[in-house]
Amino acid sequence: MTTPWLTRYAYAVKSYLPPHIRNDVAEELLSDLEDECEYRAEALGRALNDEEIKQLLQERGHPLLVAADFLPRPTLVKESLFPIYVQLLRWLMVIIAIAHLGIGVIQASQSPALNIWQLLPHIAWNTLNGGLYGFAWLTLIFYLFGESISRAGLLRHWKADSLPRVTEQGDYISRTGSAIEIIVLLYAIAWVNSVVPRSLGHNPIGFLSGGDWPALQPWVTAILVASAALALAKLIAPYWTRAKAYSELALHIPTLILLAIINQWDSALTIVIGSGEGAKEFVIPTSWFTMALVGYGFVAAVDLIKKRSILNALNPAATNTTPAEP
Amino acid sequence: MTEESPQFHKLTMELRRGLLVMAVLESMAKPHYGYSLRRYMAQCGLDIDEGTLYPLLRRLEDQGLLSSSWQVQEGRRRRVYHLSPLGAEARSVMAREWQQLNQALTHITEGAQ
Repeated sequence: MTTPWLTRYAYAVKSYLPPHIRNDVAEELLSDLEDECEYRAEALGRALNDEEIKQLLQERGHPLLVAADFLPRPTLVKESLFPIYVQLLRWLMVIIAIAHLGIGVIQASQSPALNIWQLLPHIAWNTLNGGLYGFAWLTLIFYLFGESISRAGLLRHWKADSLPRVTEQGDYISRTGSAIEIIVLLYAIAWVNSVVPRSLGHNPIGFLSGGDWPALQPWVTAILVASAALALAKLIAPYWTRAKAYSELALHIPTLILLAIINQWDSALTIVIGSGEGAKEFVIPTSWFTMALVGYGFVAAVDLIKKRSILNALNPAATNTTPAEP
Repeated sequence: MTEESPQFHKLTMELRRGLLVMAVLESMAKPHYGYSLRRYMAQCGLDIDEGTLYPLLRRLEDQGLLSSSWQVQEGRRRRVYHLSPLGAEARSVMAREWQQLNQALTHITEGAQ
């Protein structure tokens, strides 16, 4: 009792199916529909009319939905990796937005003719564009990563020993704070090494130092890079460990040494804006560096006190009684 | 919230879905084609829509729990499913598990009262 409606429906479902199951599924579906029509016809005591057959097909649903039930439902991002994917996607979007905003500000400072209403759509479009690229790349990386994780069974071979030693003191390290720290430090590294232009409008910014600034520059860069690496570690694993606490404390030492060296210079630093005869000089007095040195020393001392309580809580005897964070 | 509320409906559907494999394997004590299996289960009080049943049958066949062959019955070609030896083993394992779950649930319910 194959009616054109049933054949058309089975054909429509078939068109959405992959070749290896197409004919099999369509034939079984047609057979099922014929049985259903026969059953309803017996109940009515007459053959179904076109409207009743169409009603039956309506009840079965759109051919695409019927076909979808026969297909596996693979995902680009594995369910187990989804939480970290969402988190990374969020950071990526924030970083892209901030980067484009930063680029926009630099462009504005170099081209005074540009006004904010010209700049804003430009920044918005670039952020959207960069965001879409970032989203696509991250999803692709997670797809490939998810497949390889499934094959290697990495997450199944996890051991409890690999859990980090954590402390309830200090709670989680703010990820937003760590992200901002990274952005500021990366910009500082680029700025110190003249990767981004040092200028204000059309006026270049120069530095004159009383001491040997070029010799100090690699050390400043090294401290900034180490700080950025530590901020990245805090962003990825936002809890205190002994290594992180000691590293952060250790970074205070070279910073203090650098400030002490600069403090020894006769004329510490002069900022020169512009060039030629119209150039303006702003001398930063040595006393400012002395204040910076004392201030930083105070901050380091407070940090040492805070970290001591974290380190005490992190010693093995204390952590044995502390339930591990999930 | 009433018994027909979407949240309750979803919960009961999830519960039923978990039992469908067992119900299908139990129903396969004798061979069935898709439509006859659906009618049989409906007569037993378990309505299952074809969009769930046919993909499930295919999945169980892929897992080696069922086997199928095309046969002509009442002048019509029908795909008839049989329980495979592995399916028979799975059926008894699931029946045992079900009994244990049922007992545990009874204890939990009695304990709560």
